[in-house]
Amino acid sequence: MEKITEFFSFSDTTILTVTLGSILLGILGSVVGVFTYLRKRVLIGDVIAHSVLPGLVLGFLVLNEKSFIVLLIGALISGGLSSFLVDYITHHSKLKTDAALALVLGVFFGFGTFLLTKLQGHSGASQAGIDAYLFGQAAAIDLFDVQVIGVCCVLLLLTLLIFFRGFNILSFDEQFAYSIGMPTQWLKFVLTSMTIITVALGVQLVGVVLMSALLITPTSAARFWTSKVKIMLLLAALFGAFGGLSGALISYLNYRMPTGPWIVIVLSFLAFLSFVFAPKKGVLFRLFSNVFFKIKIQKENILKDLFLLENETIEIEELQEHQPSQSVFNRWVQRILVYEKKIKKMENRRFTLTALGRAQGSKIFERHKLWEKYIGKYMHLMRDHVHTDAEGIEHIIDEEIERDLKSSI
Amino acid sequence: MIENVKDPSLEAHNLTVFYQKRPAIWNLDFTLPKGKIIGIMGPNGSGKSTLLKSIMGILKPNDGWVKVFQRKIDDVRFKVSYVPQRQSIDWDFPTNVFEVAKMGRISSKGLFKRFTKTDLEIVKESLHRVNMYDMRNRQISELSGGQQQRTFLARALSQEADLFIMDEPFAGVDAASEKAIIGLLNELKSKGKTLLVVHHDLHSAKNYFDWLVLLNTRLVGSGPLEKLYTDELLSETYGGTLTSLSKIATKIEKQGLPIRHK
Ligand SMILES: Nc1ncnc2c1ncn2[C@@H]1O[C@H](COP(=O)(O)OP(=O)(O)OP(=O)(O)O)[C@@H](O)[C@H]1O
Ligand SMILES: [Mg+2]
Repeated sequence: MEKITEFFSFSDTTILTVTLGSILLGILGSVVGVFTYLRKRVLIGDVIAHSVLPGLVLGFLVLNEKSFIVLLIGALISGGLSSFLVDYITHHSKLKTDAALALVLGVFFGFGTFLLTKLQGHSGASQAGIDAYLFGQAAAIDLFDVQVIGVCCVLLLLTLLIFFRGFNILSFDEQFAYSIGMPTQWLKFVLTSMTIITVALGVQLVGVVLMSALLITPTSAARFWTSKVKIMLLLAALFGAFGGLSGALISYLNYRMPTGPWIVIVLSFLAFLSFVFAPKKGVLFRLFSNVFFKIKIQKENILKDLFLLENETIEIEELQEHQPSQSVFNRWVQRILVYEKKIKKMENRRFTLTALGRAQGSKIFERHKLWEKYIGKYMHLMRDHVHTDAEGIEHIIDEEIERDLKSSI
Repeated sequence: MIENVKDPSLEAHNLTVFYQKRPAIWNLDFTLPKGKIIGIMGPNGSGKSTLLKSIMGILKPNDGWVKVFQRKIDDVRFKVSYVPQRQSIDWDFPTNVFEVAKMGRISSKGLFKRFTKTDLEIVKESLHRVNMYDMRNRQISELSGGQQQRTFLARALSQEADLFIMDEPFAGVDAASEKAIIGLLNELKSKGKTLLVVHHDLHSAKNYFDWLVLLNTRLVGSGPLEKLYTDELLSETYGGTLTSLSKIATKIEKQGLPIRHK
């Protein structure tokens, strides 16, 4: 607790720079990631991130200096080169995009790892550390770095804001965008450049291996909650910022825990929560809507059967035919109906309808008949087929459809 | 059988497009009239979509050129509306019907200008005309094939173009939607618009089009429906010639073909 207040007082400049850097990169990564996702270019983000490695190491080897700017330039060059190569290979060879992506990633990352091993024997390499390249080293971010990140962040977000319309329509329908005279090549170039710059800025924080997670996780999480691109951008940015902040906090509370991986873990957790709990698209919602529908069908079947039994319009055998077995589920649904005061339990474990239940049962039966009539009139089905069909449809018909059906008969 | 017109809405000269080394359309020469509904017909893979894309400049011809209203396409884009094949986009994209229709207004606005009240009125009107206004807030992922197509048409209408270039607007729509769409095309025609429509069904083509372009990598014919809709020309388009043409195309792909460059 004490440490938490200490953290939020930002008395230590290191805390401030790391936290600020993490938040800014979290926002930037998520926002750029939204369009990478919408344009289905998720994998290219991953390829660029991995391909940045040789640039990083070469920058260090050549200039013998591990400053932010040197790393940044190295990353920009090799990231840009890799993205250019992917495009070139897909357009000028028989290789499809996936093969080109895998090829470029393999070659660049392999070469980068090779250079890293070389680096280990290099003087002064101990402080550079392999982990720093692969998994990031947030603690190394100083005030100057944060300023660079901040300026880039503002510029990129402004670009995004200004060209939002173009990026949006490009992602939705590139051919149409071109047909109305949008500069699609240029827009694509800007978007790719933004991805490369973001990756180059971010590897310092989370490293080449986890960088693509920073691009894609907040976006995927946001997609569960909304169906509007603008809100997706806002949500993703929010998630990204939260991930950045929490990552910095957690790593501060647990000395020695690296910030970058923690950011990614928090983001993944957010994505998991979205996956489970989001309304409409979330797993729970879908699961429950499924279960509720099953319960509704079962309830209606019981009510209808009891109604038919009461009116003796149905033979006992015929009733048994579509009376589900006395399963646990069935007994459970019966209990709900009792609770809702739609049926009553009698002696010898039989049930009888209450007034409320009777009304509902008769309504369902009516709908069943209505559908049979309708389908008999319009669909030329055989009589015996009509019945099985109506067994299902009666549960779907609501007031509105009922009115429609009545008017069309 | 190729009939040429004066004052054409569209003119193609020597138009040739290759994918890698395989010709998709080859040496097309034709002119199209204004104010007509024109059907582009041919079997699968005969280069219909390729032709439309090269008209719009989405694909650059390897040889030859196209002019629209006697100008380069880049000079008249604001007068031309292109409706891509419905399957060419991802309908899971997070947006709704109204937003898609609104994209049609961007052709006159460019990247930055704001939408005005008039723009929104036009979009609204377009949605009404394709009977999608009630569904304007629907996510596009929840649309049926016919509704998707009508959304695309609303976007095209919003462009207020003079030439409409449509790639298979009837594909995968039911009879009612098809009727609605052809009604709309006729309405546009009566306002003097030109419609260039890729279509598959030979039978209905007879009732829909004033002019036909028959395509099978090469141009089989271009002219008024009455003259083009003959057993001979249709079987030339859809029949046996296809096999030899595709054999030739495969050979060219392997060996290459010296083509003239501009
Ligand atoms: N991007 C591409 N790369 C390589 N070949 C292509 C590409 N697009 C189309 N083709 C080939 O070019 C030829 C013409 O294709 P196109 O899509 O223009 O035909 P189409 O007449 O529109 O066919 P459909 O009726 O199936 O829509 C086909 O043989 C196709 O395989
Ligand atoms: Mg096609």
